[in-house]
Amino acid sequence: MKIVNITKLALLAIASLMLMPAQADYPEKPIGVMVAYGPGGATDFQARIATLASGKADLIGQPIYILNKPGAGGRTGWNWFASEASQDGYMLGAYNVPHFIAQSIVFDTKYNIDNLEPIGNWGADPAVLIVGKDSPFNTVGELLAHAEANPGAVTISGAGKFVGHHIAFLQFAKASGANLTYIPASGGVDALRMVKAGETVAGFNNLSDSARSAADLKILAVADLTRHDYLPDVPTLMESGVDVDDSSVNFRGLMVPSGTPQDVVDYLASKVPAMFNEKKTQGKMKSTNSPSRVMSRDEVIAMWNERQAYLTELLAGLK
Amino acid sequence: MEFLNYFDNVFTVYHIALLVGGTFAGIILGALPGLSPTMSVALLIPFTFHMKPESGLILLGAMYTATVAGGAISAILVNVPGAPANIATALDGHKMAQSGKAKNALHYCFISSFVGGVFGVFILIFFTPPLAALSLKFMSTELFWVAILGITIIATLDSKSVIKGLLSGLFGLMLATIGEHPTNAVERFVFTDHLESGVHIVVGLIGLFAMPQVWNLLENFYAKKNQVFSATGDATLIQSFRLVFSKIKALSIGSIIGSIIGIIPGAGGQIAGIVAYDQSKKVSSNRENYGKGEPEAIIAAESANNSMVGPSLIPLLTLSIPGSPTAAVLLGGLLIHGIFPGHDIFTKNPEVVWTFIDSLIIAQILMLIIGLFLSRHSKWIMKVPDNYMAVGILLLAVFGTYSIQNNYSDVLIMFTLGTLMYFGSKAGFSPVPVVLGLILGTMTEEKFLLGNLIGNAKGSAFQHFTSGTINIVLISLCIASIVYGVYSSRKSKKIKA
Amino acid sequence: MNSQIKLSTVIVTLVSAFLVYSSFILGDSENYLFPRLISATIAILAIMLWFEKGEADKSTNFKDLMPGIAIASAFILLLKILGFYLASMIVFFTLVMYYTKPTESKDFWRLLLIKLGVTIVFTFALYGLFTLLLKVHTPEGLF
Repeated sequence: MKIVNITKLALLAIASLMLMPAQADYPEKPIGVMVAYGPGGATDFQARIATLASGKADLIGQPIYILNKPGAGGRTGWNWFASEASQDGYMLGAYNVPHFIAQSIVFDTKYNIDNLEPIGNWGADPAVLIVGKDSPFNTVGELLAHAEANPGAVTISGAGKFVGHHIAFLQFAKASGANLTYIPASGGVDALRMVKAGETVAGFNNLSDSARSAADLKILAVADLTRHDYLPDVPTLMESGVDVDDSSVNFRGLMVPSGTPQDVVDYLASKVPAMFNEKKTQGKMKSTNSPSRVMSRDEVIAMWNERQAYLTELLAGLK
Repeated sequence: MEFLNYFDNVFTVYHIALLVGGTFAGIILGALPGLSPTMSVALLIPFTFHMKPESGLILLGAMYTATVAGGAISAILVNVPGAPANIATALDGHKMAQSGKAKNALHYCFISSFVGGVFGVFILIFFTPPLAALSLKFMSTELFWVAILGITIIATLDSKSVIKGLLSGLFGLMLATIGEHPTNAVERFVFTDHLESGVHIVVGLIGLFAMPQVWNLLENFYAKKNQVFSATGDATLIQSFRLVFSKIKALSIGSIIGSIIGIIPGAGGQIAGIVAYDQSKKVSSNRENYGKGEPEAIIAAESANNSMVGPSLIPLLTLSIPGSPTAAVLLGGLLIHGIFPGHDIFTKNPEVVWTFIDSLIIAQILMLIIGLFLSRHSKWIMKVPDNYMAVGILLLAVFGTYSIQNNYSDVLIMFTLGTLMYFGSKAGFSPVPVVLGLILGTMTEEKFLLGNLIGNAKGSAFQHFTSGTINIVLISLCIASIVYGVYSSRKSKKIKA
Repeated sequence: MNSQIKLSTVIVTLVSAFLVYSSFILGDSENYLFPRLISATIAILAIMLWFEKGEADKSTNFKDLMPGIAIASAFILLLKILGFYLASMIVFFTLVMYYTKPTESKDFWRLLLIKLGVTIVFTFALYGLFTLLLKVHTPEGLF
């Protein structure tokens, strides 16, 4: 296995040397974006919207197509991306933080923040704490009081283990000291169904999806540092007295595998934020209720490193 | 009767063109293994990107309707179901085709699809609010019992031996446990990286049905005489219509069961055909002929498949909860156009929603016309020489498998599994219970674990699983199904003895 | 009772035993509850099958089957190297040439040309439908 990897690296090094002179022309053909989730999901359709404008001459200058590689909660796609994707800038990947970082800490994956290079961030979807519309609880305080009186009886659903919702739950349970039960559903939609149906007492779910379903839900708090534009009346968890920061916010953006030539990375890093900020793209993000947050490569590097350090500590006991 | 007001929007040249194109393409795509309804709708979403919301939805709806019916064509003609929903159709449909009655089988399939489909859309139009509320009542424990109910029919489904049927089903359940654990996210039985994402249902379906067909054609290539087609088997269209409408029992069982399964959230839609097949077999007077080319079997299975389409949109449109895997992809298609499903969707976007629903009815009619037209030419497929047919199925199977998740490992899994199945079938094992096990495996385990977690938090998991009206009804159905299975197998043994 | 069923019974029992065994090695028992239940049931049923009076299984004509399996397996492996369409052309042509009925055209070159023609038309039809029209991705290789 090791030897194969070294040979691979050597071959790639030679290949990239051979490619050097041609790089002046990058990009000269359409560029792919690998999405580690199936078509129709939030990451998939946001990736399609965010890269809509790539063909414009003053932006990337080539159209972008989406390649879905779903499986094992995103691991299949990211493993492929880190180990097999071409490193010539013609295959980008969509990342979901904190998902892929948490997975690389807990599981034996082929990817981690050291063999991936971020390019730019297009969106940030915070987790929100929700209860059904007929729930007796109207504030975080009431929910926690109930949890204190009935240890373990408060069930909180989320979209599986080691995703943003689970991180939010872990932080929430740790900060409040309450004895809560996490219910890992098979996806965000199913987790939302559990709360709407009253199957679980509460749930952590995406702000975008919850805001859309406001008629069936009560949104108690946002797991972010500030209140969100979509829900100006909903307090943050900190305002509600539980010390939870923005570590569970689901950041989405583009990356390339390490080994991609530096000038390609620089080229993409200089164009991608402008592509995300393009007027029509932003309009479409807004009309589809997809929370946008454009960040440059340097900002994403800092965010990745911060998450890596924090999540290593938070998940230490859960391996 | 609000829905009548929006037919104007459907009858524009552009929309009719979209409907005809979408239906035609849908039937063809549905007939190709691997391009299941879910996959086809997913492929189409980028195309609808630049359309107006209602136009995009019309195209997606036509596609959904037509692919479900199209999957029956390959099930009947080459014994390779286009999607999990069409497994039951292959059982009797292909037997009919082998005896030279392919055209009749296709007629029954499209006519009953049409009846079921229209029934389902009317359920969607008239009963959305109460059924949406009912749909929410299906929680983890109820879904667990639904899965168990599915498992109870495995043993008696398509095997002369109950033990072999059970073994095949358990093999399918075992396959479903490969890959990510449903709640804890850890990997199980991943002996090589190729198994990391587990055995995808459609990958398994293609392997278990398409590959044995390829090997079968090649193995018997020299031995088999050129097939003779008797013109006598070809009924006229009117005879076909008459026959389908004389089987009111099968038709109504199919339509009602399909509609009920459609509103159950999650993977339910895929088992509509097989459950209807099983139920209609239990009450049919032609019971003994099931599995040997019985028209009633096709009618029940196909009316159930298409009646599932309309009701699967009920939880999707009003609660943002999809009733089938395809509806889940459709949710993305709605969101991308800024249409947010919810209780207020009929008041907020009546134009879009009602136009969409109306177009589903038109799509059913078009599906019927185009499908019957294509049935006339089915003999061309049957006349393809075996060597070309074998390699054609092989290439489409490989291609279809790869396209599902863009994953080469899936191709290896498909090929290996299919070859194993071929030798298994020599010893009397059937692929149908295996696929059913594969579909139900993850659902059973996941819902059991979730129900258990929630039940324990509430106090008693046992009580959680056995209380509530729907749970009790489902448990009784499970028991009835098992008792009936034992009773009927005893009875048939006595007859043989 | 016949050898093929006996053989499959033995294989099935061994496989389920191996799975149960590996589940104890691989991870904590909680995650393997379901697979263990299933494999235990499989083992019991396999033993029951041993004693069941079943019908004879069908014999296999390996002489005609094996070349097909060999060609198809080569195709699966070639996919990743040559890419989908080139590998498809090769396997299509090889299979239809190898499996030729004596009743087909006597003229070898005529047959070759016809089959080559069908191969090219079929592959281009696939390319047109999948890559151009549906914009689906196929396994990529050198071409």
